[in-house]
Amino acid sequence: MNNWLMQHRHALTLAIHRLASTPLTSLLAIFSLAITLSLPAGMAVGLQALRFELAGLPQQGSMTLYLHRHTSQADLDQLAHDIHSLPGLAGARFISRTEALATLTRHLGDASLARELRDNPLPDTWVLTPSQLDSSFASQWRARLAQDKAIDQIQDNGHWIERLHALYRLGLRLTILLAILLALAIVTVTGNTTRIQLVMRLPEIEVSRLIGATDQFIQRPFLYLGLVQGLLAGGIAWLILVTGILLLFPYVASVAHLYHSEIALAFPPLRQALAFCGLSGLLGMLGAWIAVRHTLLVNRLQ
Amino acid sequence: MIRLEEISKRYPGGHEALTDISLEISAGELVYLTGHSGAGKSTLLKLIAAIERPSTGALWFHEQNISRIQRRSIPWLRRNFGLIFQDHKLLFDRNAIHNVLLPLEIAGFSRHDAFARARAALDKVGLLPRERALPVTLSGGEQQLLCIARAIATHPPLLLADEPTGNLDSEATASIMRIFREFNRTGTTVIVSSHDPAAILPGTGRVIQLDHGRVLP
Repeated sequence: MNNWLMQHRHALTLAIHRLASTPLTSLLAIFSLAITLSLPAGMAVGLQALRFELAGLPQQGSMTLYLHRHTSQADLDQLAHDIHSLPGLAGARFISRTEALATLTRHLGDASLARELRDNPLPDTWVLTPSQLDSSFASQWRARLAQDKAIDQIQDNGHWIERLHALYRLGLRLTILLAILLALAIVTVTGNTTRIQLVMRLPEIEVSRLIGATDQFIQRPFLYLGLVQGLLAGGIAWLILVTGILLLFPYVASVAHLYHSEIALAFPPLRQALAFCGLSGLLGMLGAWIAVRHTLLVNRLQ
Repeated sequence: MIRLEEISKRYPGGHEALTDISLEISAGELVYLTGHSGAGKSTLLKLIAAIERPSTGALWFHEQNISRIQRRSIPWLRRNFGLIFQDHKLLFDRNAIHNVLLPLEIAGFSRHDAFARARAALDKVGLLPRERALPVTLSGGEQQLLCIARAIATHPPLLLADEPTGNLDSEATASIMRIFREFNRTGTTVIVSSHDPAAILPGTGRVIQLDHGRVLP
Protein backbone atom coordinates (compact mmCIF):
# COMPACT_ATOMS: atom_id res chain seq x y z
CA MET A 1 0.00 0.00 0.00
CA ASN A 2 1.45 3.37 -0.87
CA ASN A 3 2.47 5.83 1.79
CA TRP A 4 -0.32 8.31 1.06
CA LEU A 5 -3.06 5.71 1.40
CA MET A 6 -1.46 4.32 4.52
CA GLN A 7 -1.37 7.75 6.18
CA HIS A 8 -5.06 8.22 5.37
CA ARG A 9 -5.97 4.79 6.68
CA HIS A 10 -4.05 5.53 9.84
CA ALA A 11 -5.83 8.89 10.25
CA LEU A 12 -9.25 7.30 9.68
CA THR A 13 -8.53 4.51 12.18
CA LEU A 14 -7.36 7.09 14.72
CA ALA A 15 -10.52 9.18 14.14
CA ILE A 16 -12.80 6.17 14.68
CA HIS A 17 -10.80 5.19 17.75
CA ARG A 18 -11.15 8.71 19.18
CA LEU A 19 -14.88 8.70 18.46
CA ALA A 20 -15.27 5.31 20.15
CA SER A 21 -13.14 6.34 23.12
CA THR A 22 -15.88 8.76 24.28
CA PRO A 23 -19.03 6.85 23.21
CA LEU A 24 -21.65 8.85 25.09
CA THR A 25 -20.31 12.26 24.07
CA SER A 26 -19.95 11.10 20.48
CA LEU A 27 -23.46 9.64 20.37
CA LEU A 28 -25.01 12.78 21.83
CA ALA A 29 -23.18 14.97 19.33
CA ILE A 30 -24.09 12.71 16.39
CA PHE A 31 -27.76 12.50 17.42
CA SER A 32 -28.05 16.26 17.84
CA LEU A 33 -26.58 16.64 14.34
CA ALA A 34 -28.94 13.99 12.97
CA ILE A 35 -32.03 15.68 14.42
CA THR A 36 -30.84 19.02 13.05
CA LEU A 37 -30.40 17.48 9.61
CA SER A 38 -33.74 15.67 9.62
CA LEU A 39 -35.75 18.90 9.99
CA PRO A 40 -35.03 20.45 6.57
CA ALA A 41 -34.97 16.97 5.00
CA GLY A 42 -38.50 16.34 6.35
CA MET A 43 -39.69 19.70 5.05
CA ALA A 44 -38.18 18.90 1.66
CA VAL A 45 -40.10 15.59 1.52
CA GLY A 46 -43.36 17.44 2.34
CA LEU A 47 -42.67 20.04 -0.32
CA GLN A 48 -41.84 17.35 -2.85
CA ALA A 49 -45.26 15.80 -2.26
CA LEU A 50 -46.90 19.21 -2.66
CA ARG A 51 -44.94 19.83 -5.85
CA PHE A 52 -46.25 16.58 -7.37
CA GLU A 53 -49.77 17.58 -6.38
CA LEU A 54 -49.35 21.04 -7.94
CA ALA A 55 -48.02 19.52 -11.14
CA GLY A 56 -51.28 17.56 -11.47
CA LEU A 57 -53.45 20.66 -11.14
CA PRO A 58 -54.48 22.81 -14.11
CA GLN A 59 -51.75 25.35 -14.66
CA GLN A 60 -54.28 28.07 -15.62
CA GLY A 61 -57.03 29.26 -13.38
CA SER A 62 -60.33 30.24 -14.89
CA MET A 63 -62.98 32.89 -14.49
CA THR A 64 -66.69 32.14 -14.73
CA LEU A 65 -69.17 34.84 -15.76
CA TYR A 66 -72.76 34.15 -14.74
CA LEU A 67 -75.17 36.12 -16.92
CA HIS A 68 -78.48 37.73 -16.08
CA ARG A 69 -81.46 35.78 -17.26
CA HIS A 70 -83.50 37.43 -19.98
CA THR A 71 -80.51 39.27 -21.38
CA SER A 72 -81.03 40.76 -24.81
CA GLN A 73 -79.20 39.34 -27.79
CA ALA A 74 -77.50 42.69 -28.32
CA ASP A 75 -76.06 42.62 -24.81
CA LEU A 76 -74.95 39.03 -25.33
CA ASP A 77 -73.20 39.98 -28.55
CA GLN A 78 -71.57 42.99 -26.90
CA LEU A 79 -70.31 40.73 -24.09
CA ALA A 80 -68.92 38.17 -26.53
CA HIS A 81 -67.10 40.99 -28.29
CA ASP A 82 -65.74 42.35 -25.01
CA ILE A 83 -64.59 38.91 -23.93
CA HIS A 84 -62.60 38.26 -27.10
CA SER A 85 -60.81 41.54 -26.75
CA LEU A 86 -59.58 40.73 -23.21
CA PRO A 87 -55.75 40.72 -22.82
CA GLY A 88 -54.07 37.39 -22.04
CA LEU A 89 -57.09 35.31 -22.94
CA ALA A 90 -56.24 31.72 -23.82
CA GLY A 91 -59.77 30.46 -24.29
CA ALA A 92 -63.43 31.32 -23.74
CA ARG A 93 -66.33 28.92 -23.75
CA PHE A 94 -70.01 29.77 -23.66
CA ILE A 95 -72.20 27.34 -21.75
CA SER A 96 -75.87 27.93 -22.35
CA ARG A 97 -78.33 27.38 -19.52
CA THR A 98 -79.81 24.44 -21.44
CA GLU A 99 -76.39 22.83 -21.75
CA ALA A 100 -75.70 23.52 -18.07
CA LEU A 101 -78.93 21.84 -17.01
CA ALA A 102 -78.16 18.83 -19.19
CA THR A 103 -74.74 18.54 -17.60
CA LEU A 104 -76.24 18.84 -14.13
CA THR A 105 -78.82 16.21 -14.90
CA ARG A 106 -76.12 13.90 -16.21
CA HIS A 107 -74.06 14.44 -13.05
CA LEU A 108 -77.02 13.83 -10.78
CA GLY A 109 -77.98 10.73 -12.73
CA ASP A 110 -81.68 11.45 -12.20
CA ALA A 111 -83.53 12.81 -15.25
CA SER A 112 -86.85 13.04 -13.42
CA LEU A 113 -85.45 15.79 -11.22
CA ALA A 114 -84.91 18.07 -14.23
CA ARG A 115 -88.32 17.21 -15.64
CA GLU A 116 -89.97 18.25 -12.39
CA LEU A 117 -88.51 21.75 -12.60
CA ARG A 118 -91.00 24.20 -13.97
CA ASP A 119 -88.26 26.43 -15.25
CA ASN A 120 -84.51 26.05 -15.83
CA PRO A 121 -82.98 27.97 -12.89
CA LEU A 122 -79.44 27.98 -14.28
CA PRO A 123 -77.98 31.05 -16.01
CA ASP A 124 -75.97 31.23 -19.21
CA THR A 125 -72.26 31.30 -18.42
CA TRP A 126 -68.94 32.10 -19.98
CA VAL A 127 -65.78 30.27 -18.75
CA LEU A 128 -62.63 32.28 -19.51
CA THR A 129 -59.12 30.83 -19.31
CA PRO A 130 -56.04 33.09 -19.07
CA SER A 131 -52.84 32.27 -20.96
CA GLN A 132 -50.94 31.99 -17.66
CA LEU A 133 -51.59 31.75 -13.94
CA ASP A 134 -51.50 35.37 -12.96
CA SER A 135 -53.94 37.20 -10.74
CA SER A 136 -53.25 40.49 -12.57
CA PHE A 137 -55.33 39.18 -15.51
CA ALA A 138 -58.24 38.45 -13.22
CA SER A 139 -58.30 41.98 -11.82
CA GLN A 140 -57.89 43.51 -15.30
CA TRP A 141 -60.71 41.39 -16.66
CA ARG A 142 -62.93 42.24 -13.74
CA ALA A 143 -62.36 45.95 -14.35
CA ARG A 144 -63.13 45.67 -18.05
CA LEU A 145 -66.20 43.49 -17.68
CA ALA A 146 -67.70 45.38 -14.74
CA GLN A 147 -69.78 47.64 -17.03
CA ASP A 148 -71.29 44.79 -19.04
CA LYS A 149 -75.01 44.73 -18.43
CA ALA A 150 -75.25 41.02 -19.25
CA ILE A 151 -73.08 39.91 -16.31
CA ASP A 152 -74.75 39.10 -13.03
CA GLN A 153 -71.77 37.64 -11.15
CA ILE A 154 -68.07 37.04 -11.75
CA GLN A 155 -66.34 34.13 -10.06
CA ASP A 156 -62.56 33.78 -10.10
CA ASN A 157 -61.61 30.09 -9.98
CA GLY A 158 -57.81 30.57 -10.21
CA HIS A 159 -57.14 32.15 -6.85
CA TRP A 160 -56.77 29.00 -4.82
CA ILE A 161 -54.30 27.44 -7.28
CA GLU A 162 -52.27 30.60 -7.21
CA ARG A 163 -52.42 30.65 -3.42
CA LEU A 164 -51.23 27.06 -3.33
CA HIS A 165 -48.33 27.92 -5.64
CA ALA A 166 -47.48 30.93 -3.48
CA LEU A 167 -47.56 28.74 -0.36
CA TYR A 168 -45.31 26.22 -2.11
CA ARG A 169 -42.84 28.96 -3.06
CA LEU A 170 -42.87 30.28 0.50
CA GLY A 171 -42.34 26.77 1.90
CA LEU A 172 -39.46 26.21 -0.52
CA ARG A 173 -37.73 29.39 0.55
CA LEU A 174 -38.30 28.65 4.22
CA THR A 175 -36.82 25.18 3.74
CA ILE A 176 -33.78 26.60 1.94
CA LEU A 177 -33.30 29.21 4.65
CA LEU A 178 -33.70 26.61 7.39
CA ALA A 179 -31.31 24.26 5.59
CA ILE A 180 -28.66 27.00 5.35
CA LEU A 181 -29.05 27.92 9.03
CA LEU A 182 -28.95 24.31 10.15
CA ALA A 183 -25.94 23.63 7.90
CA LEU A 184 -24.20 26.45 9.75
CA ALA A 185 -25.30 24.84 13.01
CA ILE A 186 -23.74 21.54 11.91
CA VAL A 187 -20.49 23.28 11.01
CA THR A 188 -20.53 24.99 14.41
CA VAL A 189 -21.32 21.82 16.38
CA THR A 190 -18.69 19.67 14.65
CA GLY A 191 -16.25 22.56 14.89
CA ASN A 192 -16.82 22.74 18.62
CA THR A 193 -16.49 18.98 19.23
CA THR A 194 -13.31 18.98 17.15
CA ARG A 195 -11.97 21.96 19.10
CA ILE A 196 -12.57 20.12 22.39
CA GLN A 197 -10.73 17.07 21.02
CA LEU A 198 -7.90 19.32 19.84
CA VAL A 199 -7.53 21.03 23.19
CA MET A 200 -7.47 17.62 24.90
CA ARG A 201 -4.70 16.54 22.54
CA LEU A 202 -2.50 19.63 22.53
CA PRO A 203 0.40 17.82 24.28
CA GLU A 204 0.27 15.11 21.61
CA ILE A 205 0.20 17.77 18.89
CA GLU A 206 3.19 19.53 20.44
CA VAL A 207 5.21 16.29 20.61
CA SER A 208 4.17 15.30 17.10
CA ARG A 209 5.36 18.64 15.77
CA LEU A 210 8.68 18.32 17.55
CA ILE A 211 9.34 14.95 15.96
CA GLY A 212 8.47 15.96 12.43
CA ALA A 213 4.71 15.87 11.97
CA THR A 214 3.40 18.17 9.27
CA ASP A 215 0.25 20.23 9.78
CA GLN A 216 -1.50 17.85 7.37
CA PHE A 217 -0.54 14.85 9.50
CA ILE A 218 -1.91 16.57 12.62
CA GLN A 219 -5.08 17.79 10.91
CA ARG A 220 -5.99 14.59 9.11
CA PRO A 221 -7.47 12.56 12.01
CA PHE A 222 -9.54 15.57 13.10
CA LEU A 223 -10.86 16.09 9.57
CA TYR A 224 -11.79 12.42 9.41
CA LEU A 225 -13.45 12.81 12.81
CA GLY A 226 -15.65 15.58 11.39
CA LEU A 227 -16.33 13.55 8.25
CA VAL A 228 -17.27 10.39 10.15
CA GLN A 229 -19.49 12.35 12.54
CA GLY A 230 -21.22 14.04 9.59
CA LEU A 231 -21.70 10.77 7.68
CA LEU A 232 -23.11 8.99 10.72
CA ALA A 233 -25.38 11.96 11.49
CA GLY A 234 -26.56 11.96 7.85
CA GLY A 235 -27.33 8.23 8.01
CA ILE A 236 -29.24 8.55 11.27
CA ALA A 237 -31.11 11.61 9.98
CA TRP A 238 -32.16 9.54 6.98
CA LEU A 239 -33.44 6.80 9.27
CA ILE A 240 -35.41 9.42 11.25
CA LEU A 241 -36.86 10.70 7.99
CA VAL A 242 -37.86 7.25 6.73
CA THR A 243 -39.42 6.42 10.11
CA GLY A 244 -41.32 9.72 10.01
CA ILE A 245 -42.66 8.99 6.52
CA LEU A 246 -43.74 5.49 7.57
CA LEU A 247 -45.53 6.84 10.63
CA LEU A 248 -47.23 9.76 8.86
CA PHE A 249 -48.03 8.05 5.56
CA PRO A 250 -51.52 6.70 6.47
CA TYR A 251 -52.57 9.98 8.10
CA VAL A 252 -51.48 12.09 5.13
CA ALA A 253 -53.27 9.65 2.80
CA SER A 254 -56.54 9.87 4.74
CA VAL A 255 -56.43 13.70 4.82
CA ALA A 256 -55.66 13.75 1.10
CA HIS A 257 -58.58 11.42 0.43
CA LEU A 258 -60.97 13.85 2.13
CA TYR A 259 -59.86 16.52 -0.35
CA HIS A 260 -60.04 14.12 -3.33
CA SER A 261 -56.29 14.46 -3.62
CA GLU A 262 -53.66 11.88 -4.47
CA ILE A 263 -51.04 13.69 -2.39
CA ALA A 264 -48.70 11.21 -0.64
CA LEU A 265 -45.30 11.25 1.07
CA ALA A 266 -42.73 9.44 -1.04
CA PHE A 267 -39.48 7.82 0.05
CA PRO A 268 -36.65 9.78 -1.55
CA PRO A 269 -34.48 7.67 -3.87
CA LEU A 270 -31.19 6.10 -2.79
CA ARG A 271 -29.20 8.58 -4.88
CA GLN A 272 -30.64 11.43 -2.81
CA ALA A 273 -29.94 9.55 0.41
CA LEU A 274 -26.29 9.14 -0.56
CA ALA A 275 -25.99 12.78 -1.63
CA PHE A 276 -27.58 13.84 1.67
CA CYS A 277 -25.12 11.76 3.72
CA GLY A 278 -22.23 13.00 1.59
CA LEU A 279 -23.24 16.62 2.11
CA SER A 280 -23.61 16.04 5.83
CA GLY A 281 -20.13 14.47 5.91
CA LEU A 282 -18.66 17.44 4.05
CA LEU A 283 -20.31 19.88 6.48
CA GLY A 284 -18.83 17.94 9.38
CA MET A 285 -15.43 18.05 7.73
CA LEU A 286 -15.75 21.79 7.09
CA GLY A 287 -16.52 22.40 10.79
CA ALA A 288 -13.54 20.28 11.79
CA TRP A 289 -11.29 22.06 9.29
CA ILE A 290 -12.22 25.50 10.64
CA ALA A 291 -11.60 24.36 14.23
CA VAL A 292 -8.29 22.69 13.38
CA ARG A 293 -6.97 25.66 11.40
CA HIS A 294 -7.98 28.09 14.12
CA THR A 295 -6.65 26.02 17.03
CA LEU A 296 -3.38 25.15 15.32
CA LEU A 297 -2.84 28.78 14.37
CA VAL A 298 -3.54 30.02 17.91
CA ASN A 299 -1.35 27.25 19.31
CA ARG A 300 1.46 28.18 16.93
CA LEU A 301 1.20 31.87 17.80
CA GLN A 302 1.41 31.03 21.49
CA MET B 1 27.22 18.13 9.10
CA ILE B 2 26.34 21.14 11.28
CA ARG B 3 27.94 24.56 10.98
CA LEU B 4 27.15 27.58 13.11
CA GLU B 5 28.37 30.95 11.85
CA GLU B 6 28.31 33.79 14.39
CA ILE B 7 25.02 32.66 15.83
CA SER B 8 23.34 34.87 18.43
CA LYS B 9 19.98 34.43 20.06
CA ARG B 10 18.27 37.28 21.80
CA TYR B 11 14.85 36.75 23.39
CA PRO B 12 12.14 39.41 23.55
CA GLY B 13 12.97 41.50 26.60
CA GLY B 14 16.64 41.68 25.68
CA HIS B 15 18.09 38.54 27.28
CA GLU B 16 20.87 37.25 25.07
CA ALA B 17 21.08 33.45 25.42
CA LEU B 18 23.82 32.94 22.83
CA THR B 19 26.44 35.36 21.52
CA ASP B 20 28.52 34.92 18.36
CA ILE B 21 28.73 31.15 18.43
CA SER B 22 30.74 29.65 15.59
CA LEU B 23 31.47 25.96 15.51
CA GLU B 24 31.32 22.92 13.29
CA ILE B 25 30.21 19.39 14.10
CA SER B 26 31.13 16.60 11.70
CA ALA B 27 29.05 13.56 10.86
CA GLY B 28 29.69 10.70 13.27
CA GLU B 29 30.90 12.92 16.12
CA LEU B 30 29.84 12.60 19.74
CA VAL B 31 29.66 16.08 21.22
CA TYR B 32 29.03 16.98 24.84
CA LEU B 33 27.65 20.47 25.46
CA THR B 34 28.43 21.41 29.00
CA GLY B 35 28.00 24.44 31.20
CA HIS B 36 25.96 25.55 34.13
CA SER B 37 22.26 26.33 33.97
CA GLY B 38 21.58 29.30 31.71
CA ALA B 39 24.81 28.81 29.74
CA GLY B 40 22.84 28.42 26.51
CA LYS B 41 23.02 24.64 25.98
CA SER B 42 19.28 24.11 25.51
CA THR B 43 18.98 27.20 23.32
CA LEU B 44 21.75 25.89 21.06
CA LEU B 45 20.00 22.52 20.70
CA LYS B 46 16.68 24.27 20.00
CA LEU B 47 18.29 26.28 17.23
CA ILE B 48 19.77 23.15 15.65
CA ALA B 49 16.38 21.41 15.86
CA ALA B 50 14.68 24.49 14.34
CA ILE B 51 12.48 24.82 17.41
CA GLU B 52 13.72 28.39 17.59
CA ARG B 53 15.43 30.67 15.11
CA PRO B 54 18.67 32.54 15.68
CA SER B 55 18.51 36.33 15.94
CA THR B 56 21.64 36.68 13.80
CA GLY B 57 24.08 34.39 12.04
CA ALA B 58 23.65 31.32 9.90
CA LEU B 59 23.12 27.70 10.90
CA TRP B 60 23.78 25.00 8.34
CA PHE B 61 22.64 21.40 8.43
CA HIS B 62 24.41 19.66 5.59
CA GLU B 63 24.10 22.33 2.91
CA GLN B 64 20.81 23.78 4.11
CA ASN B 65 20.70 27.08 5.97
CA ILE B 66 18.13 26.21 8.62
CA SER B 67 18.18 29.66 10.18
CA ARG B 68 16.18 30.77 7.16
CA ILE B 69 14.16 27.62 6.62
CA GLN B 70 10.50 28.02 5.62
CA ARG B 71 8.02 26.98 8.27
CA ARG B 72 6.46 24.29 6.10
CA SER B 73 9.87 22.65 5.58
CA ILE B 74 10.63 22.31 9.30
CA PRO B 75 8.79 18.96 9.79
CA TRP B 76 10.81 17.37 7.01
CA LEU B 77 14.04 18.73 8.52
CA ARG B 78 13.13 17.41 11.98
CA ARG B 79 12.73 13.89 10.62
CA ASN B 80 16.53 13.89 10.42
CA PHE B 81 16.77 14.37 14.16
CA GLY B 82 16.09 12.18 17.13
CA LEU B 83 15.09 14.56 19.92
CA ILE B 84 15.47 13.58 23.56
CA PHE B 85 14.12 15.93 26.19
CA GLN B 86 14.79 16.27 29.87
CA ASP B 87 11.05 16.16 30.56
CA HIS B 88 10.69 13.21 28.13
CA LYS B 89 7.56 14.59 26.45
CA LEU B 90 5.94 11.16 26.43
CA LEU B 91 2.26 10.63 25.69
CA PHE B 92 0.78 9.29 28.89
CA ASP B 93 -2.37 7.86 27.31
CA ARG B 94 -0.32 5.58 25.05
CA ASN B 95 1.71 2.60 26.13
CA ALA B 96 5.45 2.31 25.56
CA ILE B 97 5.33 0.79 22.10
CA HIS B 98 2.72 3.27 20.88
CA ASN B 99 4.91 6.14 22.06
CA VAL B 100 7.75 4.72 19.99
CA LEU B 101 5.42 4.16 17.04
CA LEU B 102 4.55 7.88 16.81
CA PRO B 103 7.61 9.06 14.80
CA LEU B 104 7.32 5.95 12.63
CA GLU B 105 3.68 6.76 11.83
CA ILE B 106 4.68 10.34 11.05
CA ALA B 107 7.46 9.10 8.76
CA GLY B 108 4.92 6.87 6.98
CA PHE B 109 6.25 3.42 7.77
CA SER B 110 3.86 0.54 7.12
CA ARG B 111 2.21 -0.89 10.22
CA HIS B 112 4.29 -4.05 10.03
CA ASP B 113 7.60 -2.20 9.58
CA ALA B 114 6.70 0.35 12.22
CA PHE B 115 6.03 -2.31 14.84
CA ALA B 116 9.25 -4.15 13.93
CA ARG B 117 11.29 -0.95 14.24
CA ALA B 118 9.57 0.11 17.44
CA ARG B 119 10.30 -3.28 19.05
CA ALA B 120 13.92 -3.11 17.88
CA ALA B 121 14.27 0.37 19.40
CA LEU B 122 12.74 -0.76 22.69
CA ASP B 123 15.04 -3.78 22.66
CA LYS B 124 18.10 -1.56 22.18
CA VAL B 125 17.30 0.41 25.33
CA GLY B 126 16.22 -2.71 27.26
CA LEU B 127 12.52 -1.84 27.46
CA LEU B 128 11.08 -4.53 25.20
CA PRO B 129 9.65 -6.54 28.12
CA ARG B 130 7.70 -3.43 29.10
CA GLU B 131 6.35 -2.56 25.65
CA ARG B 132 2.72 -2.57 26.86
CA ALA B 133 3.42 -0.53 30.00
CA LEU B 134 1.99 2.95 30.28
CA PRO B 135 4.65 5.64 30.85
CA VAL B 136 3.18 6.45 34.26
CA THR B 137 4.14 2.98 35.47
CA LEU B 138 7.79 3.44 34.39
CA SER B 139 10.54 4.88 36.58
CA GLY B 140 12.24 8.19 35.66
CA GLY B 141 15.15 6.32 34.11
CA GLU B 142 12.86 4.03 32.14
CA GLN B 143 10.86 7.01 30.90
CA GLN B 144 14.07 8.54 29.62
CA LEU B 145 14.99 5.23 27.95
CA LEU B 146 11.56 5.23 26.32
CA CYS B 147 12.19 8.76 25.07
CA ILE B 148 15.51 7.56 23.61
CA ALA B 149 13.79 4.57 21.98
CA ARG B 150 11.32 6.95 20.35
CA ALA B 151 14.20 9.15 19.14
CA ILE B 152 16.16 6.30 17.57
CA ALA B 153 13.22 4.35 16.09
CA THR B 154 13.52 6.00 12.66
CA HIS B 155 17.32 5.67 12.66
CA PRO B 156 17.95 9.42 12.34
CA PRO B 157 21.47 10.55 11.41
CA LEU B 158 21.53 13.04 14.31
CA LEU B 159 20.54 12.59 17.95
CA LEU B 160 19.99 15.74 20.02
CA ALA B 161 19.66 15.10 23.75
CA ASP B 162 18.88 18.00 26.06
CA GLU B 163 19.87 17.20 29.66
CA PRO B 164 18.82 13.54 29.23
CA THR B 165 20.18 12.61 32.64
CA GLY B 166 18.99 15.70 34.49
CA ASN B 167 16.80 13.92 37.03
CA LEU B 168 18.54 10.53 37.15
CA ASP B 169 20.84 8.90 39.63
CA SER B 170 24.47 8.18 38.73
CA GLU B 171 23.82 4.57 37.74
CA ALA B 172 21.00 5.46 35.35
CA THR B 173 23.05 8.40 34.04
CA ALA B 174 25.99 6.14 33.21
CA SER B 175 23.69 3.61 31.55
CA ILE B 176 22.10 6.25 29.31
CA MET B 177 25.43 7.79 28.38
CA ARG B 178 26.69 4.33 27.40
CA ILE B 179 23.66 3.95 25.13
CA PHE B 180 24.53 7.25 23.41
CA ARG B 181 28.11 6.06 23.02
CA GLU B 182 26.87 2.84 21.38
CA PHE B 183 24.69 4.73 18.91
CA ASN B 184 27.61 6.99 18.09
CA ARG B 185 29.76 3.93 17.36
CA THR B 186 27.23 2.85 14.72
CA GLY B 187 27.75 6.18 12.92
CA THR B 188 25.01 8.35 14.42
CA THR B 189 26.04 11.90 15.24
CA VAL B 190 25.13 12.58 18.86
CA ILE B 191 24.97 15.93 20.64
CA VAL B 192 24.27 15.67 24.35
CA SER B 193 23.90 18.62 26.67
CA SER B 194 24.54 18.20 30.36
CA HIS B 195 25.31 20.49 33.25
CA ASP B 196 26.84 17.53 35.09
CA PRO B 197 30.54 16.93 34.23
CA ALA B 198 30.24 13.45 35.75
CA ALA B 199 27.84 12.47 32.96
CA ILE B 200 30.59 12.78 30.35
CA LEU B 201 32.30 9.52 29.45
CA PRO B 202 35.97 10.50 29.34
CA GLY B 203 37.72 10.17 26.01
CA THR B 204 34.58 9.33 24.05
CA GLY B 205 33.82 12.63 22.35
CA ARG B 206 34.39 16.35 21.99
CA VAL B 207 33.44 18.59 24.88
CA ILE B 208 32.13 22.06 24.08
CA GLN B 209 31.78 24.22 27.13
CA LEU B 210 29.37 27.12 27.15
CA ASP B 211 29.31 30.00 29.58
CA HIS B 212 26.85 32.88 29.47
CA GLY B 213 26.03 32.12 25.88
CA ARG B 214 29.61 31.95 24.64
CA VAL B 215 31.87 29.00 23.79
CA LEU B 216 34.81 28.79 26.16
CA PRO B 217 38.11 28.25 24.40
